[in-house]
Amino acid sequence: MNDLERYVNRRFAKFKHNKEIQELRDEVLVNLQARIDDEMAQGKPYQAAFDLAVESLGNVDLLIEGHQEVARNRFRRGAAQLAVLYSLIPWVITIPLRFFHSGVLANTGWTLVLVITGVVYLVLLWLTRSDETTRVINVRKLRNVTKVVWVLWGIYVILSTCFTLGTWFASDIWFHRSIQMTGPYVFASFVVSVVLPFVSVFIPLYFVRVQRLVQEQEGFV
Amino acid sequence: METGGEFLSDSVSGDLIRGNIDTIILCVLMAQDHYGYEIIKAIRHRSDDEYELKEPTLYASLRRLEKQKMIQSYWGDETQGGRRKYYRLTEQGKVLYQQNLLAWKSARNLIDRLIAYQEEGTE
Repeated sequence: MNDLERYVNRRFAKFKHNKEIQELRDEVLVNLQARIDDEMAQGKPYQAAFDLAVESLGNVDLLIEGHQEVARNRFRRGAAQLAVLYSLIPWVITIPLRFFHSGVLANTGWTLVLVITGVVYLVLLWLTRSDETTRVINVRKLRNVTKVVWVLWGIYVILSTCFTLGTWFASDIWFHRSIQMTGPYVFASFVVSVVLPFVSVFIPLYFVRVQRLVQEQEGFV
Repeated sequence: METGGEFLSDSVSGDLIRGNIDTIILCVLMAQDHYGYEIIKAIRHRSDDEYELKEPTLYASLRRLEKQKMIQSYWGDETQGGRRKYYRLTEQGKVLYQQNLLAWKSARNLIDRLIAYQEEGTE
């Protein structure tokens, strides 16, 4: 194993060893070797040719499929801003629902989320004005995280809907008295408690939007 | 002001080349199959050392073209050193190259007419 192979192996060490990465590593290695041989044939000393080749390769992270470079702080600010927006909407939606007990809980919860995201956004605005570093985002991983969030959200919605319908319509099983819709308020209260969990759709939607934010950065770095 | 102007023209020509890099690579492969560094070298040579294709751009472009089935890769049978990954144009790739070439030519003619200032005959 020569210097170059050791170097390339080191740069690829942190990635999963699947066939795709292995082939990319092999391809990068022979191309760098060819570049070094070429430079040396034109009279460059080995070390200079080696340095030049390494420099031409740049950041190995970016060679891997699904990796996207973003401006670190611009991306953070963008993501935080979206978080504020995506907690503001459900907060506004749940304000009128404060007439109902479940609505008060939900609206208080979203207020809390909104305050937290707002503070994070303001702190980021204040801290990260002039730092121009970049970072690499693994788009595939982000996509998988988004998928998991959707699944968790789906499970949550199904369970909470079952629970709500169960407590209302199967009340004669639990409480030995059947459901009583005594008026429009009770009915509305029922509808609200069924619909409320769906407002949390803004959480998975946020992840989808962040994915697009990453894609929008393509070519801007 | 002057440096600003230079920067702009640099970025304009850079953007133009980047926007056509897939076609440029297809063009290099029209003559014969190549492996990665040969493509970089061919492009450098054809541009009289004025343009150096960056490796990340090369790999991204090759991957994109291979996914679109415009090129096919295969491993060479070098006995010395590592095996090289060669790229060959597919029939689809040849068609795409011709289409892109035509598109570029008509765009270039149009831009020529739009962008060049002529004292006489300019309305």
